[in-house]
Amino acid sequence: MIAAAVRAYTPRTQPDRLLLGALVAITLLGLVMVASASSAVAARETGNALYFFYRQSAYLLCGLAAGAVVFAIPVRAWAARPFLLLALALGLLAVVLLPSVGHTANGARRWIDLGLVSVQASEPARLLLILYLAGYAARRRRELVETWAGLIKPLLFVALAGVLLLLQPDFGALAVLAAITGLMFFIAGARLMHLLVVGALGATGLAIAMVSSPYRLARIISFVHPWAHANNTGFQLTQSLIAIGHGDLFGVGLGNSVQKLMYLPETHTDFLFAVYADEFGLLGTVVLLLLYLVVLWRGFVIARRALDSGAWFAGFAGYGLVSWLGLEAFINIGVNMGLLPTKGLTLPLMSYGGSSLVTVCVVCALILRIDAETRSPSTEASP
Amino acid sequence: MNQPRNTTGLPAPGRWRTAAVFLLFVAAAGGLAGRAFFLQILDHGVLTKRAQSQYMHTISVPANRGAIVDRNGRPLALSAPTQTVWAVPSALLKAKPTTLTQLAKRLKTSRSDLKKRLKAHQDSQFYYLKRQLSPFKASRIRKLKAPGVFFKRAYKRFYPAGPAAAQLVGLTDIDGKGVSGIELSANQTLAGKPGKRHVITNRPGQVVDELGYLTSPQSGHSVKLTLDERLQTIGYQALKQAVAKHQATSGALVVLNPQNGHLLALASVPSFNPNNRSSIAPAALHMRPATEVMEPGSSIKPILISGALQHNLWSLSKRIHTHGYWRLNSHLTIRDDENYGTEGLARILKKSSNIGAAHVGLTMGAKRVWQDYRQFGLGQTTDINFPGQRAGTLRPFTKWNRTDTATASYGYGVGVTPLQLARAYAAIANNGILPSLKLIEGQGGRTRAPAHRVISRQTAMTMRRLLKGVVQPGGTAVRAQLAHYAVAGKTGTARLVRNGKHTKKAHRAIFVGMAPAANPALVTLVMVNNPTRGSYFGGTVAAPVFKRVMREALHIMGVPPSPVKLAASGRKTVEVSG
Repeated sequence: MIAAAVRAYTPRTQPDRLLLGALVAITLLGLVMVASASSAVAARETGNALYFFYRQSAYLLCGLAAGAVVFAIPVRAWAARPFLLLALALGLLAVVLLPSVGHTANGARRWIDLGLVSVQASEPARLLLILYLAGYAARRRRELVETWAGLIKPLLFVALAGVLLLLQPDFGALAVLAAITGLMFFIAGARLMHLLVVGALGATGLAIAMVSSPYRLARIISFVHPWAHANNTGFQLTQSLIAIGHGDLFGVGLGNSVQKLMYLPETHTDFLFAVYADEFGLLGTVVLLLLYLVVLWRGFVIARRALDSGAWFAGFAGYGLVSWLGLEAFINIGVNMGLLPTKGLTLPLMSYGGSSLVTVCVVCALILRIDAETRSPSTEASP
Repeated sequence: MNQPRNTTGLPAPGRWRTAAVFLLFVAAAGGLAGRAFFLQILDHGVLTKRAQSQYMHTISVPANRGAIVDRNGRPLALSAPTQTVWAVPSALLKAKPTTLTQLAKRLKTSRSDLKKRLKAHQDSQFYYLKRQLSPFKASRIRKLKAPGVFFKRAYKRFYPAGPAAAQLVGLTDIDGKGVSGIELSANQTLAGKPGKRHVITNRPGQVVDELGYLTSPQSGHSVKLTLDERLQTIGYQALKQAVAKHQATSGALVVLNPQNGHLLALASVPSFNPNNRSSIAPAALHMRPATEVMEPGSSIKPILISGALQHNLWSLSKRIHTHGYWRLNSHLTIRDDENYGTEGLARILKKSSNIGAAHVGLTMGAKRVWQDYRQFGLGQTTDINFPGQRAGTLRPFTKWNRTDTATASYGYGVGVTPLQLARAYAAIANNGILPSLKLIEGQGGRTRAPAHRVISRQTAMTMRRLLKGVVQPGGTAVRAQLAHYAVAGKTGTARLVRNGKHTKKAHRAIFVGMAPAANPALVTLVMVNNPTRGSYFGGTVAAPVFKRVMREALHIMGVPPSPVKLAASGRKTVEVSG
């Protein structure tokens, strides 16, 4: 089977250089920033200033290995067993809720402890769900476009995943999943009227979930008036704003951020961008936004090419995956700059964390595989 | 295969949909860039100020306190760097038990005690674990890397001369500020100016970067005293032994150079160890030469007689007849220890006759006596600026009646400090010029009373000749006699006041003298309060101290010996009068 897979992929073309270049640039920037932003916390907690850097490097190697394996698998393999994907995704989200399996950090049960490493269940689960949705859109496109039922059936599974995510709770992951679902169905051609109605219902549900929990409400309040709560609930956000504002046009230089010296919590994970903006300034911010836009642009081009060549699953998956990357990146940056309430979302390819990094590596591998397949039709084998 | 291809027969989705989604992303990126511009450029100033207000701090850097040295540069007070160890209790309580045990051990306490103290201050962000720790011990604690433990540089004061100069040199408080003695009076010179340092701290308050000095600390200047540490130590030891030997309560000693008024020794007993302050008795804190007001008794007589001679109110040849007592009026009967019969000035001084002194004083009159005492600086603070120095009491003569004038003539009803009395004798030693006293070198131009002539050179020389008789056989202070130097001096044995009355049971023994008598290099005063064992006379308690100190002091000061006619007659019991 492996031999078949290897045979299946015989590259005729170079990968998309712009995409690959942007991804490598973001990844390297991420590694450097993890080293810089975590040094103080790492030194204090472990005695080794590079502790998180070494771990992140190891995660990256895992991610590259996983990416290499995924890259070797033909895209169509992922569409072969849609319900297996769905079952795996929901299974992950359900299993993490079991007290004996999932363990809790910061008040949310999000992690599956595998001994050596912990896996954040929602990351692979969302990847699997996106692939399932892409497959559904490709297989049942006519139903999706023409009937209510065709639109609502897959949404029921998404809603189920949503409920499981809320039980963790992981509201941020749910919001992103909902947005990606809507986006994919919109691209797949669902009727605007249908989408609006379902979207409005979904948004109402999300809003109720948001307001119903006191901690999320507190986050929203502190998000609206961060300086009024600068010493408690607004502390993280105000410290993030201070760090970003401190950066000026060119930044204070790599390694020179003071805010990372225990002023700003979560510097190497959710608030890595704030330290980056402090050290590289507005110029760095714009460069980073452009890098993510390049990824989006190339991703969209690749997905479109797949659709045009008739590979609908690959196309829809491409749109979904690259949008997921872009959405998480922009939401994370928006949170850092106080435009969105704190969510607990990572900056893809940059934030410290194995689950996120490996998952994102797999996502990138999938996009590159789609690119490779659509540009070398011979690898499609015989239809 | 399973790859779902275009099996639905539908056309590919419209391009406008994907274009719209992409544009949405571009718009979002634009919005984020705009927000970044707003934060990083427009709000940069405000946010940077907020950032700096939390990470930039001004830290005070202690200045090295100047040393106090004697005239030869020997240290009397020195500052050595120490470390202050403090903690954020809540953070330290989270340390590993082994770390806490180690830390407690190095702080010389137990873990449970340390924990108890930390818990008591749990809500505080600052708690002193130990102050004035030696740099070595501090480094041993630093190696533990205990959480929430911090270090601060400080200085500790050391006093090499120990108890010998304790009251004179004085003390600093734990913050390094002078609180007594020279430490207090010269604090401004010694203290220097603490510097200010701009630093960047992390959130727990540890300094992570230096932005440099705002002002660097200026070390204090050292203060050089006129004191001679060797004389000070010799004087203190001799005085201390005399006080112990005679079971006295306290004592004072002054050695000065009469020619320039430099104070060479100022000792006070009881004393304390300034390097170990755990138990300092209040009585030990007095710098008695400057702070004790005493009735000088007979030791005032040379001042009185100097005035009488100077103003030609009594001649050297004038004689009076005494009978051992003199009933002046219904209030006062003046007594001598025995009937000295017919006496002139030489015999009045040699035998210390109160009746003779009263005759001289009454002849001079209250105004003249008062004026002369005042001329000699009695009842006025001296020029040294010592904290707690007292002025003494010299009531205006207009309030003196005949009794007051008579008693003032032999040293009662007049309150002087040992310093004042020593300075008055220095005028006799210095050929009539009353020197301005000096304790700190290089401090000129601020004297309240510059050196000035109080008696003629002739009178001063005559007085020294008369005072030589006091240590000659038959005088009150043969025990002050030195082998190789001629000594001039005078005893005093004053009754102490108990419950408002002079008592026969408690005395103050005084001897003030100078040597060599022909051209005195040193004046030394010895005073012992309430000697209760053995003898209590100035000639038997104070004079031997004088002798012991002077013998060594003259040698140390390099004063050439002068030929002395040693008395052929041996020691006989010496009569001393009060």
